[in-house]
This record gives sequence, structure tokens and C-alpha cells, in this order.
Amino acid sequence: MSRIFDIEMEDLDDQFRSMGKMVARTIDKSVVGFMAHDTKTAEEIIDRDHEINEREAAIEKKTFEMIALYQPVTTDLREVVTILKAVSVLERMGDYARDIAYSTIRIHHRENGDRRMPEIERKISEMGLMATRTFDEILDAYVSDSIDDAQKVADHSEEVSRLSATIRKDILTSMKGDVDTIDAGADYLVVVGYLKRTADHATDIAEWLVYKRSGKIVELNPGSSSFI
Amino acid sequence: MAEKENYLLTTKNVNLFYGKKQALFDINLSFPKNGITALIGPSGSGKTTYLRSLNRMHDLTPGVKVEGKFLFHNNDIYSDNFDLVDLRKRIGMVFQQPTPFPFSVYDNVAFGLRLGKKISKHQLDEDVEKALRQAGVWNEVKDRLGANALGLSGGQQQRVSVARVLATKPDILLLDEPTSALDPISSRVVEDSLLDLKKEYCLIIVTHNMQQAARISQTTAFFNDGRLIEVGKTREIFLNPKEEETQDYVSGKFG
Repeated sequence: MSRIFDIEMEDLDDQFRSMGKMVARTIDKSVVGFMAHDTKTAEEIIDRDHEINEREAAIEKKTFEMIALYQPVTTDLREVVTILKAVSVLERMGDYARDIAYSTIRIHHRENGDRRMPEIERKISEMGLMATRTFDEILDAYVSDSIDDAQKVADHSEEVSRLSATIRKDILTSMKGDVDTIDAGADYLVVVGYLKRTADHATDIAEWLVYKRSGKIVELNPGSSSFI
Repeated sequence: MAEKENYLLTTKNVNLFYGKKQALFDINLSFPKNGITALIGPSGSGKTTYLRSLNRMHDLTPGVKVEGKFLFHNNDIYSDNFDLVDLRKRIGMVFQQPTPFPFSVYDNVAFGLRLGKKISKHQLDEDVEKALRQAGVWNEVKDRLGANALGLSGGQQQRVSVARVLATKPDILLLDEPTSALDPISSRVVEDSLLDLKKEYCLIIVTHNMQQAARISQTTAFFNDGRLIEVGKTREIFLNPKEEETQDYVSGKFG
């Protein structure tokens, strides 16, 4: 016999996963849009950011209700808390996708004389794909509820982090060599930062998954909480 | 509460006196056709007194005076032309202690049915089974319908008591702390049965267990000192009650 709490939890779980997919699609689109210089997609992402925020608010409200009405303990409590914490992270990731969209538009509308850097853009695309993959993995780990899978996410997110350091160096080198690339370069740096943070946040969710399974609050990638 | 919603039972300006002492003050409360309404409040707040007034349980207590309107299908249950036996069939009561009669499970459930007009053995069998199923106890007792109900566990006895009330096909079930004499596991089984019943019946439950009220009811009414302090959606009462008294009580600061 399933408890009312279990039925409600299933619903909360569905809402969380559905929001996760929504954010995954948005990140994916923002990266593809950035590579393709597709300002229309970028505008669409910006217009629809509020949908992600609304999902977050609805899920938060539901977790408050579940805590107040069912007063969960042990694993039940951890499940609810994990969602409450992870949902803010998802929302933040949605914001980064929106910010990448802003960069896509800004770079497109630059004045003459400004130059883009195809080689750098290619590397950023590669990094974008890695970051979205990490994000997909964290959603899978949420479903599989496995500490090993969560740890893998943290490892992959560290790779994204290392790649971001390399690309950053390349961007700075270009900017020093050719002042016409400074404007675009500044945006590239920002986008690289957002992608790095997206991967870092996947690790944050991974940490909550470990908490959900084990009750232990851990740090999987110590020090990975800056844009650079 | 909005008037346009369809209520099965509406009480207006209910005042109740035990002799000179007033126990209920101007209670206005309505109950929808289905769903669970929880009445909560500290001991002596009047919630049980109010519940018992809903099927005229005070009639036999000397010195009790009940005032106000109790509209059930637009008839006042306190009017002279309301048949008391009929009323108690349509508004049944389940008590805190399981109340099995000292005879078989089958006869316990058939008891109310036999009070009415004569029905065939076949029909009786069907009705008994249906009631036991609705009360969520059929699978546990189907092989010992002839056994004495006193031999069942507390949780089973309570669900048989629920089945006995259900057999008479009531519209409303009044439950006076139906799980407070049971262990947590049996309580949960009874709660699960109630949750199934709420789809078809109007359940009104008095409970001291606030978690229970939060878990199973859609509407919660908070009583204190014979007054209805606040009534609303259960989630509102437990998340954002309007009254400070409600807030203090549900968060355990008094009572």
C-alpha cells in the first residue's frame, strides 16, 4: 500500500524531472544558437525564461506543502530537501542559458571593424557540448539514484572546468594580439564562464544526490565555484 | 466559504448549552458532498460536542440545549418530522474505541441492514461484502465472517465498525478520533480506508493528531473555547493560517 506521501512525492519528482528536461533543452538551444549566430533562437530563449522561473516557484511551493502537511523524516525528508535545493540550481542554469543568448545577440550586433574568432568559437562549441552532456548526465543520475553516477558527473564537470581554463588563455592571447577582437573576446570570456558554471552546478546537484542517498553532505569538486 | 459550492450539510449559528454552561458559540460550518473535513482543537474546545450535534447524539443527555440550523438536504435534522433512525442511517458515527457487537463479523455489518425493511439473504451477502470492501477490511476477514468480531485486532475491529456504518449507505460519516486507540500501523490502514471513502462520502473527523489532519483532510476547521476560530483548505491552515491562535495551535505552542 503506498502512502499519500509517496503519491505526492511521485508528482513532485515528475515536476522536477520535467523542469530538468526543459532546462536541458534551453541550455542545448543556447549553445547551438551561439554557434550558429542564431539571434532568433536567442530571443526565444530570453522570452521564455519566465517559464523556467514559474516551474521553480511551483516546485518550491509544493515542497513547502509537503513538509508542512506530511512532516517527513529520514529518507522522505532528504528527498524533499534535495529537490528544494536542486530546483534553485536548475533555475540558475536556466539563467545562464538566457545570458548566453544575450551574448549571442550582442556579438551579432557589433559595429564594423570588430572581428570574431572562428577557432575560439569552435572550441567554445565543443565546451558547450561537454557542458550539456554533463547536464544530461545529472538528470540521468537523478533517475538512477546512484552515487557512482553522481560522482561521474562531478568528474566530467571537472573536465569542462579544465577546458575552460585553456580556452580562456586562447581568448586572452587573441585579444592581446589583435585589438579588433577585444569586444567579441569579452563576450567569449563571459560565455565560457557561463558554461563552466553550468557544469559546476551539475556537480552541485550531484552533491545533493549523494546527500539524498547517504545523508552525508559532501563536496565533490572542492574549489569549483568561480567563473574562471 | 463560497455559497455557490454545493454543500450536503450546512450548520448556521449553532449554540449549544450544557445546562447553563455554553459549550458552542455561533458555529457556522458547511460540508461538501465528498471529501474529508478535519475538526481540530485542544481538549474542551467543543469539536467533539459539535460533531455529536450533527447526528443528534445529545438528544438523550439531560440538560443539553441545541440552537441553530442544521440543514441536511435542505431539511433541518432537528425538526420534529425528521426520523431519528433514518437520520443516523444517513449520518453515521464511528467512535474512538472500536465498537464491535459480541457476535460474528457478518452479523455486525448486517445489523443496521436488518433494522430496515426485509431483504433477501443474497442481497444481504452482497451488501455486507461491499461494506467490508469499502472499509478496506474484506481481504482480512472474508474467510472468517462467522468468527466473533471481538477476536479481531483493534484496527480490524475499527474498520468493521466503519463497515457497519457504511452498510446502511449513509451520506455522511462522523468519525470521533477513529484511530487514537490504535497503533501507528493500524492507524495508517484505517487512514487509507478513509482516503478511499472520501471519493464517495462526506467524512467529518475529529482528531487530536494534527499530522493526521494534515495528511488526509482537504478542509480543516480549528476550534477553541467553543468557537470556530478558522476554517479553510488544509494546506492553508498548516502553511499560512490567518489567525494567530490557529498558528500557535498547529505549531504546538498550546493545547
